[in-house]
Amino acid sequence: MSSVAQRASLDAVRPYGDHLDDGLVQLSFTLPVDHGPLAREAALALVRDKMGLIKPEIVHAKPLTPGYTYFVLFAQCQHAVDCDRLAAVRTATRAMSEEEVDAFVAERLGRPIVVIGASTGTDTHSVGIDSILNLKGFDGRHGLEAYHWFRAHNLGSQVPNTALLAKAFDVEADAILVSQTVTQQGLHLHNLTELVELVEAEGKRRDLLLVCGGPRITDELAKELGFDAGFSKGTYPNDVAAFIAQELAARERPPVDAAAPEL
Amino acid sequence: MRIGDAIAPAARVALVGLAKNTGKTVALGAILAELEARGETIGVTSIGRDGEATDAIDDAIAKPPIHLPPMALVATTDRLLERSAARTEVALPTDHRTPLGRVVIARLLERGTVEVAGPVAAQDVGDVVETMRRLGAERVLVDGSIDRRAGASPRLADGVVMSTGAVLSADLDQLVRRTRAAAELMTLPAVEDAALRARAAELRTSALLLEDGEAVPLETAIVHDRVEAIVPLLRGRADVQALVVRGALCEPLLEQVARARRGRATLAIADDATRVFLGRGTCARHRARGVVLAVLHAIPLLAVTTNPVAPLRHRFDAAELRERIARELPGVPVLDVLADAPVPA
Amino acid sequence: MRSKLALDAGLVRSCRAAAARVAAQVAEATAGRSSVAVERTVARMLGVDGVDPHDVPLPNALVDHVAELDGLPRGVAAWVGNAMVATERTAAEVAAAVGAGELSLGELPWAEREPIERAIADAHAATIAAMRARCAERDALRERLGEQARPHRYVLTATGNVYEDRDHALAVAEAGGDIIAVIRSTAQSLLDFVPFGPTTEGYGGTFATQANFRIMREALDEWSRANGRYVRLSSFCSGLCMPEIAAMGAAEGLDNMVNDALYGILYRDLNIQRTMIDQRVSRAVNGRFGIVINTGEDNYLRTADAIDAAPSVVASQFINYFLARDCGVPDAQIAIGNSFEIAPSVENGLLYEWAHAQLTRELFPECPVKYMPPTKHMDGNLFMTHACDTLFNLITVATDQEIQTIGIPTEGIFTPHIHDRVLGMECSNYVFTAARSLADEIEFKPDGFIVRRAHEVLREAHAMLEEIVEIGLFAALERATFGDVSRTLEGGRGADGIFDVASDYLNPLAGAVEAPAGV
Repeated sequence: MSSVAQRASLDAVRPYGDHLDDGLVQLSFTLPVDHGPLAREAALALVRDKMGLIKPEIVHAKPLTPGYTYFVLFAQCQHAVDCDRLAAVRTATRAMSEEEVDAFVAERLGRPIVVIGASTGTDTHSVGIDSILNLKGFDGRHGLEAYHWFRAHNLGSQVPNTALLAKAFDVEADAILVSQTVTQQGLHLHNLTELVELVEAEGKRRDLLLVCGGPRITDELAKELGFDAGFSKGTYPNDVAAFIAQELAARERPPVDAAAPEL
Repeated sequence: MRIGDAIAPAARVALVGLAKNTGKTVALGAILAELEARGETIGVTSIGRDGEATDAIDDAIAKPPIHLPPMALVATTDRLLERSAARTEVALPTDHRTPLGRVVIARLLERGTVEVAGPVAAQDVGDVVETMRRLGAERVLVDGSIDRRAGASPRLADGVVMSTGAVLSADLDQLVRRTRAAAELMTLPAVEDAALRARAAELRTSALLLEDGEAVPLETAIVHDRVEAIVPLLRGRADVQALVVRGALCEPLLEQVARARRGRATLAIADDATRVFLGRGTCARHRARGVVLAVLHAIPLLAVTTNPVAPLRHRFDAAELRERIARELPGVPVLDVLADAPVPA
Repeated sequence: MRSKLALDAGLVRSCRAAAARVAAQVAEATAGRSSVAVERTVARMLGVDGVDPHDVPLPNALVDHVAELDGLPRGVAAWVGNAMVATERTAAEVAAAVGAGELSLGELPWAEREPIERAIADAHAATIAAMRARCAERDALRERLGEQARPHRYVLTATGNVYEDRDHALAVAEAGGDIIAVIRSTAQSLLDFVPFGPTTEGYGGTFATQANFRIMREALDEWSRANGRYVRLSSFCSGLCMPEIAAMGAAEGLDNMVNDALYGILYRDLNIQRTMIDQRVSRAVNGRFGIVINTGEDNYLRTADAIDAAPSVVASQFINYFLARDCGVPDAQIAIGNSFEIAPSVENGLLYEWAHAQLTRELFPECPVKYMPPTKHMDGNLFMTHACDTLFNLITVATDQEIQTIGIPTEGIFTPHIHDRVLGMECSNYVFTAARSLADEIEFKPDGFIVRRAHEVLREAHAMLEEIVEIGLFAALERATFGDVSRTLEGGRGADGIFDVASDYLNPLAGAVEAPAGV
């Protein structure tokens, strides 16, 4: 037997419990059914027959109030994903550090980039936008305020879209950053689309990069919302800065050969 | 009436949803199926994304694929085209950049499914629409996204199909009211007085038009941010003929106008309905307070589609929903495309 | 209560004196002014409710109408009273006619002052009597059934649908919850109106409406009777409708209310003066009808460093306490806010928390302090959140807190699900049972970490209070004294809803503010 644990190949990845390909997952959920044998059978059937998991085991079940039962289960996932194929659709922005971004802007644009950011509408969470824009940044990486070639304006939280736009025109922003908490129910989606629509109504969409960020925001969602990019958890200020810098550079001088990479 | 008949007068058709999951993609599918049967050459672009397998927020919600006929033109991105199963050729690459890659206009060489994802900015969408027309599309469909209305601008489209659905509200009365309000907003009437319309169209900035032909320009800040500054400009003036906003006309400004005018009728003019932003209020409420909305360019509402199902939540009776909406919108074809004309699988 | 921290009684007295002066300065600065929210509350207290044909709440339609006549300085009561005299209608009928566009108050001739005042006094007295009856019923039920030992567990629900909230509330009651609060829909605090009717869809929560209050209270009354234990209902008198929601709560027999102008100023960017004017009436109503108010100092520790900001929390607690006392709220109804927010990575973080929690407890011995769980550093690692909540529960019981908002494993992720709340309750139940008499057993080392830390915080709080007396609360807010947030006197939402009252201003509630508590 080999002394080294077997490593997964990236074309068929499954959950891992304590040995490769065991597919172990833990689940917890409530069923709107009275506690009892029927509820247990329902939970098992749901996991086994509908969720694509095998060997479900209920390790905990508890009545919450008449009509509701809570379960904790373990089960095995038989499916696998191909990581190589997933990578094909990710964005083409080249990763850059703070220094690299500044050098790139100096060389390619030769002028400071003006960005303005806010958490818009009724969203009271400003942590996201603060960590990207404020001097302090987070996790030891500076926010855009610290960049030599960026002029960052942070309007804070609960900023009406119209106020953000008025200020963006005022400072002649190149890019608007908004952070937003998007929940499963689509909370705050309307705030994001409204900003895009306002920019369109003002006839300024081509002059502004629109970037959104938040826990559930992906590039796919950003495209639907009408933004130029979407950033989620795990994004650092330099990621956002790299995108803005490279995108502005690409827009200022569209490459002659449309198929060639711009960097 | 079938949806193909409803859109017949418009060469460029915009599809707009009132929210996510109101059945816009199903409506698009129904239109495509009917146009295919008529043998039309079709062009399709989307200001969002269409034909994806699952919802971008809730991946438990499966989305219908978009079946396109052979020779159809579709705006998509280089990266999405790479993973599409249909046989296609690139008719024209473009410089339009999106979060999902660079936009290309592709032609289908066989019947198949492709994720539709055109340019993000409305102006760029206009370019793509014109390009598709040049490349031979007899009819171009501009699909919207979530609740965005920009695609319905008269600059891009000759008419709009609006999709409403159960997802708007679990309360049927509320759903009907919201749909009526949205339809009323979308179909704001054009300014009747030709002279006034000409004067408004000439303005380069937002302004108050006075009876004597003079125009008092308004700063952008007053229109968007410091809206209360309009009150002293309006108070006590009997000679204001209209408020004209070039750009976005938003509710807070209308509220201040009503406050300043104290019930005296005031005409507020925007370029078109996609530039008017009402929050809580409806056109009817503003009218009741004396503010009448009008536009320079009206948008023909070609049809309204109804979707009785709110995914993973609730559903209404399909016939009742369609009936209720139809009663509120006389003269507009109201269709449930799934019930009326099942989309071929 | 004997001080385990051996606090300097003279220093505490000095803090109280300073805070009392700050509160008096605020009262002086806002005297002679009213707001649209106060006027809408007056309308409600005259019996006005419901919506007009455009779904605008009638109190708003009425106040907007009077504002358009430039008539607010006389008080909406004067206009309604005059219409009641002239048209022989009730206040509710007058408002409905105004809302329908059938009646313009500006077209009626002015009656004599005396019949107007009589009409208003009668209408107001009828509403007060109904509220008093509802609250007496509440008190009787609470008295008869009894409640659990303290700390009382305060649990939130936030589904967006009041009927789902009702089921969540029952599950939480089943698990041992003592107080249920339905979180409001996102940013209801920014709405300058209170929505009408039951809510079945909301984002991030469920609107506070009078109908929702009734639905929730009825369900809890039923559960309380069936299970022989009274469960309380709480909501939020904060935002641009502070006093209106207080009136609605009194009408429906609510037990507790979050009620803090400073929170609205700092975290909702409400105009300082507007919300202080609103708070005065709001707290007066809550005080009068036996509703416990909660303040929001806990939030400062979310936006500022939880160790550095500890003195500002104490300073604010003193000020908020006197702002409440000034409105006639008795000590037993002032639930001062505090929280457990120190980063889990801080060495001896638990000792700091112990010092801060014990200090607040000892500074407000007659008040039911409300202790809040960790949130700032809680993230997607729900198991870590559960671990932090366990220590939070330990401090809660070891420092004799009276109200505890329970910690929930998933609160760093989303609006928690029904079972997440029950998991939070289970953890709280476990610790409270296992450590029930811990507080009685504990003495602190006189020169130990906890005692020294408590003294240090009190000293710094005292210095802050001395400074605030000098510059005034408003300037202190501008200097970001609380929560690292700066607010200006003229900035913020709702400033356009303030007005100076005229010499003939009529407001039947005016007396309520000066009346002693518990009347």
